[in-house]
Amino acid sequence: MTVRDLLNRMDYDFTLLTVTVNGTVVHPDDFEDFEIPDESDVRVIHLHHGG
Amino acid sequence: MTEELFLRNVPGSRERMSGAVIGIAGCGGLGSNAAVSLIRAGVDRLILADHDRVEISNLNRQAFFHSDVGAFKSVVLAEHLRGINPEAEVISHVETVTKRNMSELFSEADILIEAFDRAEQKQWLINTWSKTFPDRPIVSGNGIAGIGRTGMLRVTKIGNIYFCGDMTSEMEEGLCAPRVAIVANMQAHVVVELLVKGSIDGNG
Repeated sequence: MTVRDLLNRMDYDFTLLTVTVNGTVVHPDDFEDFEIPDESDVRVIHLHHGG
Repeated sequence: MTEELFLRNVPGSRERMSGAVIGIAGCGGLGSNAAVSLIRAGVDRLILADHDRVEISNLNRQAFFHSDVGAFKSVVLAEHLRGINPEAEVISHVETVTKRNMSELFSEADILIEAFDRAEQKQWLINTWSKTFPDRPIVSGNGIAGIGRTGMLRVTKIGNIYFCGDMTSEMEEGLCAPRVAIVANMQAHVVVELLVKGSIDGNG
């Protein structure tokens, strides 16, 4: 399963996300190709305006 | 004078932070408040970057004064920081931080505070920093708006990324100085913890 597959399955369609797999950031350009290893810790962070 | 300035610091903390360089991308509500706290805590080397000038509407939450209106934020903030510790080394860049210049602007930074205003800027900065300097922490502000829900403000550690905020509030709720400052100080505190202890306690 790729990162894009996971986002689609979870209905995460917001574009301003930071995705990490096992603590490493996956660039949005790589979402389509990055295969998530089994048993991975995947985090999807929704980024918000304000600073 | 500096010794007297830090007389009440946590014993040994200043020595542990000596020589560390902290970068701050954005000198608005998060960046300006974080910078002030870091200088007071004993951090003595900062790199600031922001292209904006101070506006009156900034004064409801940012660490500036009426006399600063019209001045470049990074420049006048550096002056305020030296007003707290005259011996601090504060480099200010009046520049828009971009993917192209980020690594040059912050090449010496051991830790970067992400204090941008727009979520798309936060996204590319986190992505680019993590790829360029994978071993250097980045401390991001995410979800600072509104009033109340103080218990939802927390630190979330993912690898070398530290998110500070409630992770949900949007700017349309409005910005309240105490809440913005809480998140800014969470960011500053994460930096201090990393420098003094090497890690943060728990996960928020």
